[in-house]
Amino acid sequence: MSLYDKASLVMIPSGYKASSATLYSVVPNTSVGDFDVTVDADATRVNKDGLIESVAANQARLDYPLTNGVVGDCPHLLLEPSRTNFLTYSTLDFNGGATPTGWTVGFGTGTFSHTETTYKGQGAVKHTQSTTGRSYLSETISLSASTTYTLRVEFDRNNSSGIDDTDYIVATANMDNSFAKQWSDVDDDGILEVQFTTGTDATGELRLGFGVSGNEDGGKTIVFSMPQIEAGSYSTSYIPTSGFAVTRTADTCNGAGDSSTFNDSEGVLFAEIAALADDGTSRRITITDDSGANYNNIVSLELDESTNTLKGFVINNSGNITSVSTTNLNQDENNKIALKYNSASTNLYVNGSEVDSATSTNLPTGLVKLDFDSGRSDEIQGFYGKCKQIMVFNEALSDSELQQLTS
Amino acid sequence: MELFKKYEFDSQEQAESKIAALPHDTDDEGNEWLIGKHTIVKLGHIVTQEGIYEDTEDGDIVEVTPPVYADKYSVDVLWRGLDSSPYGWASYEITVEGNGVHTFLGRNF
Repeated sequence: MSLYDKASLVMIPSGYKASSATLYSVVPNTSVGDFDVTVDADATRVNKDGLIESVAANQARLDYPLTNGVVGDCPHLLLEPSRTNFLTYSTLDFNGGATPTGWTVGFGTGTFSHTETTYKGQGAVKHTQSTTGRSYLSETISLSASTTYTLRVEFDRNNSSGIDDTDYIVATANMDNSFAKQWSDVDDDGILEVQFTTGTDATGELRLGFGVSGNEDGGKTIVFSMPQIEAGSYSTSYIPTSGFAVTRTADTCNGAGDSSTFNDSEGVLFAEIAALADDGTSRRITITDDSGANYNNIVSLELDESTNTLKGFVINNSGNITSVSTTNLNQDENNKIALKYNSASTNLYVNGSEVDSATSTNLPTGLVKLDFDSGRSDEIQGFYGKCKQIMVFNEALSDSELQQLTS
Repeated sequence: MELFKKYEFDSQEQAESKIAALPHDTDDEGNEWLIGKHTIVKLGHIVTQEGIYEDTEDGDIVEVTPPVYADKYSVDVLWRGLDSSPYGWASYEITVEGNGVHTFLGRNF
């Protein structure tokens, strides 16, 4: 018998039904195992072919990892916080014009061209500077003062050519704290991500292409796509815009299981997860009694506000807490985490090893559902990250089983 | 049920006080969370007229006319579970042509 056979709930992101806002579990294979999801229409994901595609309203985003140009075999469930793309013309549609709508050519010196193309299924610009000059594209940006933003642009390395590592290809201008980035700042997957903090004057322009910071030699071609500027210290999935800023609201995923799925007296909550960033926020996955805006009667895993910190909580009906934790977790890497509880002890396992334990005397009662948040009725502390699998066991596994499960 | 509304406040401080007055809960670390799953987007003082810039012969760009900003502070909200603006917000509602400068993904104002 494998460990999977012992589980009372197994969610490996593989099946969904947008029309009913459902993410299916593998176990149980009835509606009891279903999660209720909310996802905005037109939110995007990386599909199995490595293309960026929009999803239907309330379609769980099964997002495929892309590493060194290779699409991974298994998707993760992507859950993201609300974010706004403040760049108002990100789709780079030419609409029959010589440049994308909303973008203008800077300087326009030398011989150059801008042509419409696609990259990863999204609109893109192929910019050629044939002879020495400047012909970047620019769009006006109006941001908030003294705020941290992340700029993200994707480049098609396979169809870009002649570019030196020291060529500047992205810049902001006419605003405080302007910056310029070189081709060497683009990673192997063709992604340029820049964190920057605005000053008092936060209205200026974003420049993309050749000549953003001075003349460039000729004989160069660059293809760029999906520019995005969002408030925050890390980038999230692409938000298409065409004429105005657009906000993607926060994803939610809740409500799997019932009283037969969970055991108040003993059990294990297992999650294979990665945070989007170690960003100083609290993000939880919780088995709860679903009784109100409090923490009573829960079994919960928390990617903590404190850097590199993971906590596990078991809380009884009176609010008494048994907690375990580690301060050595790389939150934004994929981690296999198990929280075991019974009348003898509470134990926390990470990536094959026990990292903490506590004498447990605070067992919950009335556990009825699993949420990607605090489990409170106010649904605070939503889990934002990537989840490759969730499992619940209604028995306390042995030490060797917990090591095996998290390895 | 969701409700998409646009607001203009007299200042950022006024907008912040209106947001702070909405129902919040605290977590076990004492952090405050807005409850109700509302999404609030602070658009700030919107540019009503873009600045004018000119290229110079030595490769620089100079500002000829600075951008003009709205006096009012703009906020867009996607309310959840409400069929009208909460108490104290309705008098700041505005209507715009189309989506104005901002919308929520998959929705139109």
